[in-house]
Amino acid sequence: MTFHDAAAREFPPFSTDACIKCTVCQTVCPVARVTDAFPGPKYVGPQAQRFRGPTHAEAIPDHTVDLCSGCGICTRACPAGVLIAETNNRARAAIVTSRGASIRNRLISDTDLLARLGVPLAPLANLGLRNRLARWMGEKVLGVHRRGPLASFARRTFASTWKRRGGLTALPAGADPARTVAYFHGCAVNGFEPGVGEDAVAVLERNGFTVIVPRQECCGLPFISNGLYDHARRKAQRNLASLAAFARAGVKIVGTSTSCTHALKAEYREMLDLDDADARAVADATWDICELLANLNDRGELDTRFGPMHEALPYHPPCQLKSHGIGTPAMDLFGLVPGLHAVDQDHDCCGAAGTYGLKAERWQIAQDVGAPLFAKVRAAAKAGARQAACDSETCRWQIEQSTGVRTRHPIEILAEAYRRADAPADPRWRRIV
Amino acid sequence: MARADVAVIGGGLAGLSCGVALAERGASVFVAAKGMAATHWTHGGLDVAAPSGATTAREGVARLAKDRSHPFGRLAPVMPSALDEHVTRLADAGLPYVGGLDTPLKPIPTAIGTLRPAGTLPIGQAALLEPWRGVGLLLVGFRRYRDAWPGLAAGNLRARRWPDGPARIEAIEVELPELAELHNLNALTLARHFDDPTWRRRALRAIADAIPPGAWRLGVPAVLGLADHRAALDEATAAFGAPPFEMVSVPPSVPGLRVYEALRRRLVKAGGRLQWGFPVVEVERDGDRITAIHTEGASRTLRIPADAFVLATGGIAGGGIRGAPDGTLIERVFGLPVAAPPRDAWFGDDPLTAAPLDGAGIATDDELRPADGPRNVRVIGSALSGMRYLDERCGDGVAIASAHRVAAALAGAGASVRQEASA
Amino acid sequence: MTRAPARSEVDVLVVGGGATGAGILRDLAMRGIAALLVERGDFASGTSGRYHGLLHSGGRYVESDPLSARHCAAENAILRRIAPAALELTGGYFVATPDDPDDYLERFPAACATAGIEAEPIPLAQLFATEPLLNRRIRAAYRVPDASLEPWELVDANLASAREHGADAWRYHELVGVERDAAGAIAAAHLHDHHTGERRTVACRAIVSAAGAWAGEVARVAGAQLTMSPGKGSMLVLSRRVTASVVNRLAPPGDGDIIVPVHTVCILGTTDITIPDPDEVRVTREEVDALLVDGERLVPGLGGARVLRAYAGARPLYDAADVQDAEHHEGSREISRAHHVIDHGRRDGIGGFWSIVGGKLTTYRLMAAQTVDRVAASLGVDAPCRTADEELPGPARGAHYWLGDRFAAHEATGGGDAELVCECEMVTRDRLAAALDERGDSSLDDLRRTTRLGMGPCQGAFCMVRATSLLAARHATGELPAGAPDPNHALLEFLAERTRGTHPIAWGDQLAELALTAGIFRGTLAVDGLRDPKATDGAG
Repeated sequence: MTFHDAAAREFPPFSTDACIKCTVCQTVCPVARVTDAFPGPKYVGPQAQRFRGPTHAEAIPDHTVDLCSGCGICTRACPAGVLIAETNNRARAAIVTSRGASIRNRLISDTDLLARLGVPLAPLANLGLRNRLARWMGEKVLGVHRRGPLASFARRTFASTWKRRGGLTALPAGADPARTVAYFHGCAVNGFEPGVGEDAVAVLERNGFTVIVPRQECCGLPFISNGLYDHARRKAQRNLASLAAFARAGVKIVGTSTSCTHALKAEYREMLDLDDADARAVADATWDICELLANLNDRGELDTRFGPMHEALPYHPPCQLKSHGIGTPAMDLFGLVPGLHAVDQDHDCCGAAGTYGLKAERWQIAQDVGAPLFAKVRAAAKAGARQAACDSETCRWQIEQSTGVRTRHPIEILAEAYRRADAPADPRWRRIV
Repeated sequence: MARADVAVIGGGLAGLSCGVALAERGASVFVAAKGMAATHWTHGGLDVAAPSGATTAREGVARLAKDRSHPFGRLAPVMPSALDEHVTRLADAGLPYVGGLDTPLKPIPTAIGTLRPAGTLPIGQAALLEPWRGVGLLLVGFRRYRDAWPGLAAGNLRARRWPDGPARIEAIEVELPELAELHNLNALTLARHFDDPTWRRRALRAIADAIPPGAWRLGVPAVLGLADHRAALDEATAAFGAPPFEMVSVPPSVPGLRVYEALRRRLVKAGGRLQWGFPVVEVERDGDRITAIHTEGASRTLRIPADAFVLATGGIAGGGIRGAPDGTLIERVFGLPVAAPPRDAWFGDDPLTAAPLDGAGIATDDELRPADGPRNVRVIGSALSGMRYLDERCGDGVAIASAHRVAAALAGAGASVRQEASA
Repeated sequence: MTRAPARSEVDVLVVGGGATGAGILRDLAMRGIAALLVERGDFASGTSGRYHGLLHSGGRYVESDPLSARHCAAENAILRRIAPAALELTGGYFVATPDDPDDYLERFPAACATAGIEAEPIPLAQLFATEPLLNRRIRAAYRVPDASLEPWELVDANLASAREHGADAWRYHELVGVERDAAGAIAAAHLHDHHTGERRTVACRAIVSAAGAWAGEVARVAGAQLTMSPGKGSMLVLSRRVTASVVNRLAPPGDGDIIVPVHTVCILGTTDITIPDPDEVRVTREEVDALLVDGERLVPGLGGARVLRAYAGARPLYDAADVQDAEHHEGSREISRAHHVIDHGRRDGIGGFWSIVGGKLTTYRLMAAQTVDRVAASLGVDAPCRTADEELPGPARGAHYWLGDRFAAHEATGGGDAELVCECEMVTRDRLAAALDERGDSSLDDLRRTTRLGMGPCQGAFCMVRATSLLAARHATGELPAGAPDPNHALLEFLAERTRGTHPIAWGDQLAELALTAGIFRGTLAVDGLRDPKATDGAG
């Protein structure tokens, strides 16, 4: 590896040097597929990068790169190894630095703040989320699309439930680090979907792990996606400060959000330049929960006593998961559940791309990107599937909102399969079998 | 990652074909590709073999096979069954081909107005294998579309000697609906427009209306639909009164994308697994065998253990072989030795003719095992040494024949391979 | 461009369409002297178009040639004023790497002060903040007013200004003979039009050879003997801005010791090898290695960077003994050793024949002024030089260009690829059409010089047929002037030229690019068939 290869890994815009202009990236871009307003990854990525420089920093030439959803498919398709999506993200950050970010983008990026405001007022806030007038107002005033995928606030945050339950927040004396995980729940579980976290803990405990929920904040990815690197860096630094000790102690950091875990694994270093020993230790220790369970299974250590689930399960592997480079471990795990017929929907992107699909001016693009997926999921539901699965929260919300089909995290499916194994006498399930 | 019988590295024509053939023979296959490449760059036809002087692909294969160092020196015997299997597979996937090994190689027009030989073409170019019999050639371009050059091509074709060619050659440029205001107008934009039945009807009518009087066969940009190519082609045939043919120019190649997609679906359907964005960064060895490859991940590699490994990473263009500044060539996955002329002899002075570097690649034994390399690795496709596929027009033939040969060998030997591995 | 008449008459014929010739033409025209410039190839296609793109601050010559340094400093200030459209104000650094001599570093500030060059010491932290890829072992850095100078724009602007003042310039016209009067003085010049094959005669009272490295050949045509000693300077085009500013080594000038950001790329230069023939400037792999080894001292790891191509220019160096005027005319101390005006009337008895040799692009205007001072005096014209006072015509008066301006302009229209012919350099259809409107007889390589067509990473692989089809469309409608190159020929020539330039640096990504290019042209397009249309290809 030359210095420049190394520099390219550290600083994605350098990787555009490797572009041979072959146009493969254009062929896979889901956004360019549906809108003429986005010129596609070759244009806004390696081509535009040649015209960006430190001189005239006050005059950023870019406009169209802001429509990149950051799905990262271009990066994976590139035969030359150019980090196209990452370069686009840097270019967006330069736009934000130069021209500022909208209040809307700041607000929807600040998921911790949203949870702090929304959870205590959950009934009222959820009413607002479901209220057409309120959503219409939200669109007009804030630019959050009235039909943008938003989940309902939880009645209680996962973190406070955990505290109430007396759950561990620090490594107990004498614990075996190899059998201990630090659970990074992320803001989706904390503020919107605490059930996913509860199932994750249950599955981990069932497989003999002691679960700790360390002090944590939003991973910062929404800020990164919206070009607000300084905000993201503050979140990242606090998370690293809390998590590094666990990583060093040999404890695995496990998350249920493929976005959060990808931020811990890659974005902190690649995008936020936080490439110190703490960041490296945390990255090395971080696992997506399905990645961890599939790995246990490969080594014969997973409890595979799943109860049967005789049903079809349309599954969408989200873009963020694909960026992990771990394949589709959820599909491997689904294969262990008797009767479960999980089907990869074979579609590139649902369109949500984090906060992208929320934005009034992007909502339609996101819908168009995901449309073929929605059609497949709807068809599966029509053929009898009662739910769908997807590893990333905003994608779940997008699919659910766009299809009306309940969409769950794979860990919820697995937890249900375990519960079925525990309750074989339940007459309702016996009938299904 | 669960153990695979075979890990195929590379997802181009050779890698996908091999993956499909293995999966269809019951092997568990994992295809790990760094990205996508040559399928998206080339014309989507099947260049089996058309060295200078050959009148059919079969003859071309035989001629090239005389050179024992040419891949066809080993692969010629499997070429017929490989081609059969390949075109049957693509036909099943909705992408039929016409022609074959014994079809006389015919001169077909390129987008720039030269002629190149072809004997096996996808349905979208099938009209080119039909005799012209007094029919004229009408080259069609679309206003603002920068990658079709009908005027240039028509002028050049008129100046050529084209035995049994068209009666006359003309070019038209057609304004297609709704395109005037687009900021982006490339082969993909157009292909996706042609997937839309409503727009397609209007566009085909606009083209049909622009056809001058007389009997014409239309050469159109290769953009007649991506997902719905057959319908676009059928409707175009009806609108023009005769089947048109597609002409490929610079990448991306829509016909190539169709091939990629057909093979990809086929692989998934057969139970094979394909992951792209998975460059191999590490290799585990045990003596003269490879035990696992590792692909790049966000913070840790993904370990893919397998009994056998197929190297289908392409040549220099595809990225399987990379040049170092000191003039050495490096095979990027296993570090296999690359057979190549000395650096000072790589290029001739004329960029249009064969360069000695063209023949660079991995030298193998008859079983396509790399010479002096690990015993459970096979090399297929344009990573192989000894062919000059641009001049011999044999790249596709070698890709599918080598894929076929290796798949048959590995699937047949699956059990023994596993025993050997565990021994 | 109007068709050149078969016979015309001017006071002065300038031979050579590089920066010096264009500067001389403008200077003559501004002094009211009827003048015509002829260039045997395209304007700025010789040494001016094949240099590293640096507007010197003068810092490079403070030790080796203090007078030259002073000239550079003064001309630098003038060009910032008169040629903004050809300049990007990148600024520059002189940096002392661990391999550079201590004594040079010690003497540098004082030498700069003497030459009138602002050289400001810069804290290393500040240097690395703006130039993060530079060698962290650099010990000292000075900021100087170097800048990036686009030669084609500069030459075009000088020619445009000259035209505004009544002069004309013909490219693809080669001087093939002269007529002299009874006294042996220049009376007329014979020209060969390379595009049409026609011969033209221009009556003139003087011929000024600004042919640079080719001055020996021009002198021979005029009947004089002049020995040039061209120096091949080879450079590498790095695929992006490795540095944002010009970076020079704080050492006596050597091989890979300067990096100049030029538009979307950086140029790493420059070797210096004496060559017999200024047309034979192929870059060898040994030169490439030498440049990269030295370049590593400035930017560690440069050897692994993407290099797009290698090119070389021929420095117009002369044999000092050969150019001595027999006499020392007044003010000779003001003539730098770096350039020299030769009065062949005195030297060789050819009245009205002048050569200007040596020099560097930064001082082209000064060289022109000094030449025209003497030529004008010989013609009895005493108008003063005004070239430093009036801004050159350009796209946006008063505005220096910057890296992103072409992209920003395209983005402001909504961006997108539909109108882009060359994607790497963002050359739009309109831009190419405008270039063809102006010079309809352009080859693709000529269009490259005025538009940057094909100068990016793919070296034309994706754009050259698009551009060829535009040429063909004009060809078909008869819009092109006589002598315009055949589109197919233009394509083949450009493909060969672009490809050859990558051979010395064919490794890594650029080798892959070359293979992809071969796939497109030899595979998909079977472009070799263009060469011999009557050959039966395709089958059998």
